[in-house]
Amino acid sequence: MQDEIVSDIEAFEATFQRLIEARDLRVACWAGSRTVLGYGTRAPSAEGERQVAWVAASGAATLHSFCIYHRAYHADFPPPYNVALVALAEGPHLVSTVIAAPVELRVGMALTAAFEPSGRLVFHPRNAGAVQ
Amino acid sequence: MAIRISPRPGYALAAIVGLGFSAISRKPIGSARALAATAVRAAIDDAGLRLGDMDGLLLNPSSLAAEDALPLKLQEDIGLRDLHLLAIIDAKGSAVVQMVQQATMAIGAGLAQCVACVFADTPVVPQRGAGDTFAITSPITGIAGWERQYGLFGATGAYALAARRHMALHGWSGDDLGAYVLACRRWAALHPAAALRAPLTMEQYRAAPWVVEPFRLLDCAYPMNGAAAVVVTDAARAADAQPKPVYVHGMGQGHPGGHPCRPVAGDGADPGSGGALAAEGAYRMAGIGPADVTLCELYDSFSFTALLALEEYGFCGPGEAARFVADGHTAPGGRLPLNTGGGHLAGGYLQGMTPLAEAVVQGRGAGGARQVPQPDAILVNGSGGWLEHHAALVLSPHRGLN
Repeated sequence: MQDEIVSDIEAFEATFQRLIEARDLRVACWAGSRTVLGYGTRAPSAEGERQVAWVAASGAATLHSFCIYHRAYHADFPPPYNVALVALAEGPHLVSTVIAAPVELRVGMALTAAFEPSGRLVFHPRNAGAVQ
Repeated sequence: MAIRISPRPGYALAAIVGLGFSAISRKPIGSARALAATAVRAAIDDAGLRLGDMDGLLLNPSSLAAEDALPLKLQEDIGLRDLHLLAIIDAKGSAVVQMVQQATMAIGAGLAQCVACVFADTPVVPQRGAGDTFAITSPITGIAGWERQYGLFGATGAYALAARRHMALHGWSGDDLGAYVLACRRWAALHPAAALRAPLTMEQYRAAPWVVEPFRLLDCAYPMNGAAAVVVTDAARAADAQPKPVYVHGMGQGHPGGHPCRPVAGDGADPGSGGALAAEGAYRMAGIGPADVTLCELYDSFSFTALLALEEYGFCGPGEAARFVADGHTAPGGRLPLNTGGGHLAGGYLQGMTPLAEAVVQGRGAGGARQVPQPDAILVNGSGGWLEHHAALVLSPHRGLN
């Protein structure tokens, strides 16, 4: 498939980072069994699989959980701001943020992935006109 | 041949016979190393033992402390010689309980006979909020450095994510966390050495500032500088000990992997914390179940941590802990006393030594105004990381539990 990149498990993190830098959100799965992998995967499967296929993510997601920082821990992050744990439609979870007011946030709400001009991956409430 | 740690379920092999503290303060009172030495000596004195009786030393520095804050050289500071057991235990908030487990196993295996276990930390420093000490980024996603770009600083954020999801799934409100905080204050009011003893109303709780929502400042552990130590020895030797020994009947650990609401695999259900796994092991070894537990001393890094533990250690069904606490069952006079010294929120945060020390005090019957009438089966736990590391003990003032 043209939209896949296959790499060894040893290159998992570097591959993910390279894709993100190219503003390309993908999910990983074992190239043979097609079992979807979490972003924390770092070792061959129990069956010995180590070839990873990186498949284009749909960008559809749900808000698995979120929290709102009211205390300043770093000058780069003036409160309030939200940190979200997002479940991609394909399965993997990752930390991100939702571009929305705190009162709009609900666990389970539908989200859509987008890249900011800086290249940071964020999520918008679905039906909010976001584009990937 | 497998080592049998307990001769039979409900009959202990080891006991805690000494408990000692350094000074404990929100002000600078010396290095963790110096405080630890003081606490160990105090625990040995409390046990009626001499330095020469000791043959084991286990150390637990905070996982966020500077390297070598609590080195193996502490042995020499204390003046201990010819040890058969010496190690630093690193298992986040489960480490204090794990030290007692390691000591018990070493005693059971014949490796050592009298083991001191000490925790020390100095997170409160001048010109800096104690929260800053704990403000590391939490790598939940699994990609190095990923969380930094979103400002996920401190354990507070990682725990807030777990709390928010649990609260949403079970319809909890902020007041449900507050009910636990108020219960802890009621216990702390009965404890002369507790850090925060002033009575607290729900209105005052609601007025406390947010730190990381859904956690207010009063939902967070209250950091202290200080050290505490216990001495563990074999049960036969402990039988005639004064003060009264507190026996180790059950031990369990749980490490499911990953954040409690981030599946480790690509998909699947929330893995939960390690509580249920740890509970299973501790209860099985002790030969009891949660219905037999008469007192709980649970690690409460945050209010939510203890509420979740009530469910995962089998005292409530999923989502039922909020109602259980709000109905007063864990407060003074309740049917399941919980964190009777005020816990980490009101008693002071010594990362697992707070609940363990209180369990020893209660097991001895030395709790004064806060003493519970039947500390017969005491569950103590420690949890850390992002709740994915749990360790638990079943303790009792009785050598035979069943």
